[in-house]
Amino acid sequence: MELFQQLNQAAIIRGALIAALALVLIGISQKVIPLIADRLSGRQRLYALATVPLIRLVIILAALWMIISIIVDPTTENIFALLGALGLALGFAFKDYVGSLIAGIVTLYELPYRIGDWVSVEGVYGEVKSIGMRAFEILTPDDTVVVIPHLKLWGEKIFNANDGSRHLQCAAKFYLHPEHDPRQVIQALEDTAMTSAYLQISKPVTIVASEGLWATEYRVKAYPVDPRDQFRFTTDLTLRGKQALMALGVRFPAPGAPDSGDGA
Amino acid sequence: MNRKKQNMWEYVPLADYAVPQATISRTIKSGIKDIWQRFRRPDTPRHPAHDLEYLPASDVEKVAPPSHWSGAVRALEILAKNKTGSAEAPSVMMVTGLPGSGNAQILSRLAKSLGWRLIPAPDPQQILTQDLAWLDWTKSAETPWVLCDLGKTYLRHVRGLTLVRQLLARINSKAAGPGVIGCDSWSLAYLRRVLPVPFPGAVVAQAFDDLSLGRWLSQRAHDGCGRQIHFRQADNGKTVLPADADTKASAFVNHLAARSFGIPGIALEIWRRALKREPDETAGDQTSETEPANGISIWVEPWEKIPWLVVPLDLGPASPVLMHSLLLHNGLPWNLAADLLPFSATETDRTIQALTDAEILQTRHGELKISAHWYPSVKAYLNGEGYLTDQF
Repeated sequence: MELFQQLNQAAIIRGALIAALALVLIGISQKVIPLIADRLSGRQRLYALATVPLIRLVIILAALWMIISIIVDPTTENIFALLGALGLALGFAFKDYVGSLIAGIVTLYELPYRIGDWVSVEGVYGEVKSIGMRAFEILTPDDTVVVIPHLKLWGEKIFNANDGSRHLQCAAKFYLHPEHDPRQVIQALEDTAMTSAYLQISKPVTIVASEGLWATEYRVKAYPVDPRDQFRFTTDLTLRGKQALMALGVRFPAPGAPDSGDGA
Repeated sequence: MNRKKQNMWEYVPLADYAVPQATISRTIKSGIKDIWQRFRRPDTPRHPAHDLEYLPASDVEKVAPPSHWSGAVRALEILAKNKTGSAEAPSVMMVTGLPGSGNAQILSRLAKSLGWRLIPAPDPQQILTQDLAWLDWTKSAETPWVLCDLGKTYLRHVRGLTLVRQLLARINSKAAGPGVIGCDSWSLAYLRRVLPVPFPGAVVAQAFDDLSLGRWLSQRAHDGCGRQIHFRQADNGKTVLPADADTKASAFVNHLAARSFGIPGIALEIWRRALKREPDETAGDQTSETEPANGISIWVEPWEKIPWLVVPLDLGPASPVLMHSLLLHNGLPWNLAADLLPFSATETDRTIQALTDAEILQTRHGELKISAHWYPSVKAYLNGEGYLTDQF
């Protein structure tokens, strides 16, 4: 039984054309779908963005199948033999690269992160902007793109703040002098959150207090309407909350204690 | 007008509010027609659209004048007397109004017609300084009262909820006596989320279905011109108003009722923008060949050519927050908007200017408001973006 078909010039050109066409289609889908997604609002935007890696996978699989059909006689035995040989060779030469590629495929059905998600990997926090076959890109709040290989999926903790939804919790922290009226403080902080223009009002506002060494810590936990507004929302909560507390005459900790008004 | 004047206004509990829908067959027909027209050569319309011009503002005022809401006031008078009880057993009725429904004007006229006390809203400074003296009017519970808009007693500000909290507490404890309180539907949606207290039982003016809307628009034209006006579709001459029969509205009015959610003020603004005339004609006194024996004709842009307005995406990140705040407050003065929004004054001014240039905002009685003809699109946009909207 012959493994390879006879490769003539026409077959090579056909294979190259298929590969080129696949690359062009992938490129187009990666440009056009985000453009369309930007014109959509809310959930539809996220759904549209989520189709990008899926479409790329379909194109790659289709192109691979067509190219393999040109190179080898596509019987089950031949396919297994070819994949085995390729796996052995690539496993040694491009272990990490192949690991990333396989992890990239795993992300398509495990969905540990999707485009539009806010994730933190090894201390880098940002919005997932694109997901490639080997790596994904996140854009940090400081407008820096960080490329992270999918390989991290195997060994690192990946923190996903909104997990495909529009709901991303933010927390504003306040450190107060221990002598204060907690009911007044809670009411002021709740009103601060409830009157924020960024608040997603259908989600709960929670206030958590804990006693620290130097101060009583209050955390106001709430959700912005749009996850992209998380830093503006936390800033708004912090500044207006501080103003409301000052109006109550609440004292803040003495120098040397932790800073108040920390972000999310 | 030989058609008997009917009162289309009916106030119903909030749960009974029914938004009119365009009929499925008309929606499908309209869609197919739209696609078909893209591929076929345009036939010669009876009055080619390019020969027609939009009605000038003075003529629009005649054939589609703003309402004085008399029908609504009449419908509310009996309801208000029945539902507010007496000084001994007082109760407060809430009248919810949708944007463009003229709720505040209706309640103001109601107070005059019933001789009840009209309570002025607190000014923003009183709200922000938590000036409880404003609530002194609740101490004299002898005469029933009317407060036109509960939405004007709060501000979305950390100190902006105290007055409304106290007011609701006094209403719930029966200390305020019998009265009627108006509330914009968006303010109500927000306050119900923010204040975990009972709200007075509420009614709302039922949405106009296509038949009611058609009758109401015909009445407006008759009131404005003093004679019957025939509204005919510009591309085929078919009658748009008055309806041929009492059982079926024209396709245009059916679509208009659906797009405006049956809110007369919104429908009127879209309607006013669809009216056309032949050049050199003046509505109300023309004597052209378009004049039938018993009235005059105004041309109406075909529904397919009425644009579905889309909120542009390049108005800046502050624009959805600003539009939402304006709806939650039923309009805000420019300087107050700048104080309430979490942006710099420059950013707020820039966004207001951009929205005004796009005609999404307009200034009315010193307040920035969402333009009535933009309201359906703005509501759809904010809903898509995940913002709280009213329940209607």
